[in-house]
Amino acid sequence: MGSIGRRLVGVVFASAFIALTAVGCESVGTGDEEDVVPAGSTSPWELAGLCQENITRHAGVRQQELADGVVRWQCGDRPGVDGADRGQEYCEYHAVSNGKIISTYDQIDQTKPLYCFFSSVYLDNDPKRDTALATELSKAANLNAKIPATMVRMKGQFNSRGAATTLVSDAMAVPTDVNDQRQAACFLYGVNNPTKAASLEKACKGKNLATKTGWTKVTKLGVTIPKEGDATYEAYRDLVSCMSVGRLGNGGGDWRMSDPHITQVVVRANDECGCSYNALPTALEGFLQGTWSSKDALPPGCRRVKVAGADYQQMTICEVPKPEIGDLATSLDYSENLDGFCNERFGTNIVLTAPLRAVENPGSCTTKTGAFCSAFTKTAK
Amino acid sequence: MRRGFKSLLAAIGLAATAALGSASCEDAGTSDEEDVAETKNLFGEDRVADVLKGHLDKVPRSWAEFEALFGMGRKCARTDSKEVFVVEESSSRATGMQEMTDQLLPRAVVTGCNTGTGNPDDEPSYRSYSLMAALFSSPDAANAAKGDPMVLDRVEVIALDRKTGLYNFYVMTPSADPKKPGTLQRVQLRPDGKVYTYTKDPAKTKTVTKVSEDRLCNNCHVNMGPLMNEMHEPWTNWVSTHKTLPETADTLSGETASIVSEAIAYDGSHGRSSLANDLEKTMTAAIRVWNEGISTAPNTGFISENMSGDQPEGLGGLLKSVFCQTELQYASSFSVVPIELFVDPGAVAGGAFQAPPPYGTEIFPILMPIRSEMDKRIETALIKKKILKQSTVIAIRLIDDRNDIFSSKRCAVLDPVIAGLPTDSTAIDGWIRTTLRGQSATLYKVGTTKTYADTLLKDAATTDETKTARTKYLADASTAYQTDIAKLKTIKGRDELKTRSQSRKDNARKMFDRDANPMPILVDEKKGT
Repeated sequence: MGSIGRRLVGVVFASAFIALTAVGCESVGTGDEEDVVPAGSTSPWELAGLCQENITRHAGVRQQELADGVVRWQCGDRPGVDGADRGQEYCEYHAVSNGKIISTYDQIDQTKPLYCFFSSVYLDNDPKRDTALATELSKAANLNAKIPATMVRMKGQFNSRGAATTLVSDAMAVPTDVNDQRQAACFLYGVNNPTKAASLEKACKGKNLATKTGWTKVTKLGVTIPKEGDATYEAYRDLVSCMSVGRLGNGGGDWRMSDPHITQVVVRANDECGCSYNALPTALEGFLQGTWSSKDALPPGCRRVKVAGADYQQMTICEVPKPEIGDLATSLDYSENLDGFCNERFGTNIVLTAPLRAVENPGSCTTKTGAFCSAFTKTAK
Repeated sequence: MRRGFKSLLAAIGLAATAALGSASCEDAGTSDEEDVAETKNLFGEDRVADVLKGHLDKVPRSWAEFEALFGMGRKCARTDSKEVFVVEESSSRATGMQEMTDQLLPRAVVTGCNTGTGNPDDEPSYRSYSLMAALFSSPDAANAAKGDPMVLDRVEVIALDRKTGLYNFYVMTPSADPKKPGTLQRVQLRPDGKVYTYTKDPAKTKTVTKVSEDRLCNNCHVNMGPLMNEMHEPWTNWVSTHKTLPETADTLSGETASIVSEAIAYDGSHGRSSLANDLEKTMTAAIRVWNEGISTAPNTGFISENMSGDQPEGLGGLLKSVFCQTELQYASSFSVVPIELFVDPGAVAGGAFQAPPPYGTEIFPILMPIRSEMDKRIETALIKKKILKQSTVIAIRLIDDRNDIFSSKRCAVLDPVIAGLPTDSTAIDGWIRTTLRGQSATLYKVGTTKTYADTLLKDAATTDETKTARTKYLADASTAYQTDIAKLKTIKGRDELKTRSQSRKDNARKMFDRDANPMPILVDEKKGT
């Protein structure tokens, strides 16, 4: 199991609330440019809200993911992440000009192409690989300039293979929680019955629904725990499984896209289908980059880094079209925040794939019935 | 020879006294076809002409024939995506007007099949946006009752013209004789502001040219460019990572089912997809190129065509995008509330304002009108073409930094600006700055807003001066913004915000107060929750 968990996330949370309205470039307001991330949840009710949002974010591709036995999310950060905290999703990105990481328009070498460079090479990937990969990156087919070895691997402590393995391991071990189950049921009932949402929030938010008294009040409002076969059962199970991200042994970022999504699928696969997973192998140097339509495609204008003449799936180069470089000069929002540009322009359409099936213990998915397991285990080992 | 800028201004002058009812430049007897960049005939120079010019025997009679002939849709050579983007609707635009029904009536936008080859340098999405088709459904379609409501015998296409940089609009329909090829019609907005049609019916020897009383495509495509109302996350109603079609899609059948399943297989039966997430980027590139022109062809695109008089709006129309609005986009809350509910992002540019998260389970606003990509792109293009300075544009935004659209205060400045517009394009920015400076005392809120605006309008302002003024303005704006977003936390505050959103929706309805319009279905805000 990996040794680097997501405990460091807590450090980020400490200043999370500041970020929501922070004013960055002009150094007004808090001046806290380093901590621009969304707020985490402060109650299971809020956690349910974050999870519901993340489930919705991936609802359209759910059936494909289940059929393929994978979990996917976008490389680009979600709204609310900015500044030095960019790169929260096992994927980091930078604007690169003439081999240098740059952050402002003034730093662009106008005689050279401007690139957005995306790396999902784990922080704890073998450091001996850095030089070889940087040499490849420097070649004409790639960034065509001398690239420092430090550009290869991601820098965020949470962007490591060990952290990912720990996340999966923790998700398999997370116990059920009655309060979470009831909070999820309450929240979902409110989503499906908007006229009751306010009274449900009053009855559930910040309350311990594991107690008989607390739960009785809620059931009087019509809330029940959905049972298999109920119309809301799948949505409920997705929600309560996602909420496990708040109780993982080593923590998880509930406002991110990757952590809650991985947790949601692993918890269900493990609890309901019996699937278990091994540590991510060292041969996997990072999560795979692709698009929503294919793990083998990239957005227009992007190409894979060539390593030893072959496509390398953990590093992508997107060349900024010249007319769009001109746009940057006119944009106060991007001219001093090229990472923000790279995120919006390409990062939101680069998709990471966690190949759960590849690390599944053969024969572990023993239950293959029910809506979730029948879909998820079709291609099980 | 293209019409010069001065003659354009003369045309604007005539238009300004519209009561004269005078003939447009076209009718003024120039009959100088070389003056008009757009061809006055059936074809432009585009991908439709590439296939059909000289081959009118191939004009498709149906969507399936179109797909096969142009290698688009289900016949696109891509294996990961057929570029069939689908939006869920229960209303139909089959008659050109929006009619509500209780049926699932999906629409589709099909882009030109980008296999990665054939794109010019610096335009990696060209093959997608250079040819786009629209499909819509109708409850009156022949097989609608059987779950197959898509209208497949009317193919509507826009194709980017390589010579003008504008989109050419085409409609392909079956001819009266089913044995003959289809009828091809081009719909064109001409410099006189009239909509012309050029129709080639295979049963007739000549192309028929007419002035159309109905504005046809121009009813919705007010600038004759591409449209995507819900262009950004969560792409409300579009099939995207956020949503598939509803369960009632199971009842779709035939061609409709086959086509919409390309957006994503709701039963997981295949791995291809065409999600609005990707269409957003294609549309953004399309609007940029259409406005700024094709990089390899100078003086092309909507801006140049208006500057040279080959489009009816002229410079005044372009400036309308800067001061007022010509089109709209529609934003919805998801992980964050649209920032436009609180502040004009153009005014606080550089401030890194973060949109706030929604409060509680009630997600609002949904489909709130905001400033369009089109208007923003025109503004950017005018800066890039050095017609306007960036500082001027920000000063215009600061006139009303709470409202990116429907600002009567900001829009009221447009008429006096146009009235005195110089004929020399290099003097336009100076004239606007002079006008704004002259009204500074009444246009700008006293304090840091006015100081910032005055500095932006000062011709000799140093970079440091401007930065200092901006920083002070942004600090005040940030304080006001935080107070404003706190309103999300109370019912009273949310009601106030809903009033703002409702006002925008009401204004949008007024802006497009006609049966055929580009608006999505707007749901009124409900207060008290």
